[in-house]
Amino acid sequence: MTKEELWQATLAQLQFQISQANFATWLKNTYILAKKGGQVVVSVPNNFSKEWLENKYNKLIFKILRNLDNEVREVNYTVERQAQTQREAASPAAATQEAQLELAPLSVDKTTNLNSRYTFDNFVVGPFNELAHAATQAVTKSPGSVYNPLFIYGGTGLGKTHLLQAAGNQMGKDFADKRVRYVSSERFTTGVVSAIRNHTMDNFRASYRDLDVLVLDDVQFLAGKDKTQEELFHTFNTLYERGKQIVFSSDRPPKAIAALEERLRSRFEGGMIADISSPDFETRMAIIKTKAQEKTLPLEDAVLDYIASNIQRNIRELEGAINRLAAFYKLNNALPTVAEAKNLLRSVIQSPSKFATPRRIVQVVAEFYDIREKDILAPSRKKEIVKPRQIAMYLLREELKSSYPFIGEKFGGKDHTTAIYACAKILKELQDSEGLVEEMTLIRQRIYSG
Amino acid sequence: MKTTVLKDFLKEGISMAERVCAKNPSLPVLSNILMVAEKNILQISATDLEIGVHYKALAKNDKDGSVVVPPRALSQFVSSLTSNQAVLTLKEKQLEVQSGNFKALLKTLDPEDFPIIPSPKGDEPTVEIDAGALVEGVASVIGFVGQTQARPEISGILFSFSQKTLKLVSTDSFRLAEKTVSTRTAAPKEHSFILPAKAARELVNALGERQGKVKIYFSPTQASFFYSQQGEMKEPQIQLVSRLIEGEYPKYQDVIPSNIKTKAILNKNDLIAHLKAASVFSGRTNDVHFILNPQKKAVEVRAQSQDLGEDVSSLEAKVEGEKREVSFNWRFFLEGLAQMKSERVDFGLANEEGPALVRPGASEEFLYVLMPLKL
Repeated sequence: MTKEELWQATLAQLQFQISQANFATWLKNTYILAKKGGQVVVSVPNNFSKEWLENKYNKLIFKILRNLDNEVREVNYTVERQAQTQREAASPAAATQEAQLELAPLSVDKTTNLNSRYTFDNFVVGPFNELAHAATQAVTKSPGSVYNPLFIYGGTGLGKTHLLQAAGNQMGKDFADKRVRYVSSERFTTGVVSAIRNHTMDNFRASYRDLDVLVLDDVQFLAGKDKTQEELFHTFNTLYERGKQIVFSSDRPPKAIAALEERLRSRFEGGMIADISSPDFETRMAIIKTKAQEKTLPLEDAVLDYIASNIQRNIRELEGAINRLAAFYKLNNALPTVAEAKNLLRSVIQSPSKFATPRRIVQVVAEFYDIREKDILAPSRKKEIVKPRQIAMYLLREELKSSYPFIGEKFGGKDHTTAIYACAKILKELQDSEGLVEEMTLIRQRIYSG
Repeated sequence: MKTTVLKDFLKEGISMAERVCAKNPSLPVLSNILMVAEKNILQISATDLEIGVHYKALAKNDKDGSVVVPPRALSQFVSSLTSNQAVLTLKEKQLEVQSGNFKALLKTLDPEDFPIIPSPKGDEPTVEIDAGALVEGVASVIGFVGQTQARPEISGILFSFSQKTLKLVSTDSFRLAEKTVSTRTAAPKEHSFILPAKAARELVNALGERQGKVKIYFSPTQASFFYSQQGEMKEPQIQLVSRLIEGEYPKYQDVIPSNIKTKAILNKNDLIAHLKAASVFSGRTNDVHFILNPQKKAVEVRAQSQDLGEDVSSLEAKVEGEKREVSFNWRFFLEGLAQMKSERVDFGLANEEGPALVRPGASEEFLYVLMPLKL
């Protein structure tokens, strides 16, 4: 019998022996924390429950436990300090106070804009982010001298911001005299705009140019903002000349950012570029375990396994799934079973696949390679069309698990062997060509995000 | 149980306990109070499972015992008594209250069902403090505790002990108050906890203006305040225990502005008068506009209302640094000033859109940080 089952069985018997009001008051949110040798430690929510159970119900509880498991020799009660509750979205009190400014969000450092929650300690490293992690750590140890600039890219929700902020925090801690600042690109842009409007460009420039470390998040948003790009270009040059560290992040490699000035692009590429890809199963498992632990959510292995194998691309989604289960746990005071977890996570897990249809894949691939949809489906054997067609076939197979005959049928009545050949070819190319892997990631992202 | 007790003690104890009783409990016994007669003490207790209080008074006990009664009826009856003492006797599950020629019989509940209020074991670290200082300290910050459920950690008062000082801090994210009081004994180590606002209010209520000392016991999940008056009783007369708010208090030191660029020294009563005058004309957001002008050696106070008109007045002040314009919610400003006892008020501003630092003169005891309104 596991300790959860043991406690459940105990509660089941207890409820007949004490009144309902007492049961609800004193035994709510209790569970067995540990069972070792003959000693059972029961966690209770507060000191009142502890006193009550110790003094009034101890004999009863002991007797029941002993009947269920004759190894039990002793029952202890302890008040556990619960992990901090989630409270990210602190909404300002009332709408009538919209004009009242709030004290700077208290956990964010005012001068650096860094959130102290992000550290290297709570960053899970796996093969998918090893390189980015190592590069960031190297930069953190000697800012400005190894990889400058450091450019990190990867899909949404894979931990870029975490890594960047952790680097900033670490540098702020290790080098107290260095001025570190973390800025999102959006904020940088707003800064440029208001500097232009208020004629305070000089102040704006000065505020960035005396930094020792500049961390700029999500630079893909600079696309098409020419004046901001120009300011960044000059800021970059000034800092770079003085040997100051600059760290960028983006959701795609510099080459793939459209409407980015060439001189800025070449600067992004001038230092070290590290990517964060999707986490593998083991790493996802490790991440879920860490998150569940942070929330003191003792989930079953089968449930963890289910989440890890079904949410693959996005760590933020993993976190969302854990939050959902945590809410369930809090509400029902029982851990979700695999079936319940499936039910709870249905919307998280299934929502992406409903967007991926054969039509959608063909549409996105055509759009990506800038060809017409009907060309892909037509029997043309032009080189520039054959490759996209093969990619589309491969995606149909991989994403939708379509059968080869179906795929052949779809692309202008081709034979199923053609489809098999296309998939095998792309699979091989994926192993050889780094460029194709990137293209594939981008296409997948577009399929699921569009 | 049979005990004779002074009416005033009885009244005081019941009303203290009544305030703590749970209002709509899942467990009916929680809306009642427990009275225990033992040796020469009558103890009155109540709890809502978050806070627990014990009130102890000297009594002449003929027979020890305990009883659980509803507090409202008892307190109303006791306050109408004319004689200065009362005899409480338990007779077959009913409590007889007799005083002079008044007599009442009250229904009771089984004392066995009453929760056990957890007390400190005695090996916890402790600090002793003057009751007056504690009450004054808590009372001067209690008004600024956040009401929002979204951030539980600011819905209480931070008690932060270091050596012989206790810093009490509260914030609702628009303003922040910090009061420093000294303790009688030094804390064994740096220690802090967050006391829920309700417990803090009950503490102020229970101690009132009493003279004496309070011993504070720290444990990881609860805090206990034991009040004793020097003199006749060895045991503490009032004990209040409360659960603590879990979580970490924000690093509040970071929001206290340090590089003051504009500073004004004002007379507090003048400032209050001007704020009140300007408030007549202020709008929906309670905004009052300030211009700190070092050349004119004045602080101009303005408020404007489209319907009513405007207030433009000027306050003589010593102003140093840059000229600055800033708006505040006058209600927030006044509430902060109300906690200052000095004649002089120092008012400092750091950077644009940053908070103001208000202090009572040069005193380090109290500080108030207030965010401006958007211009």
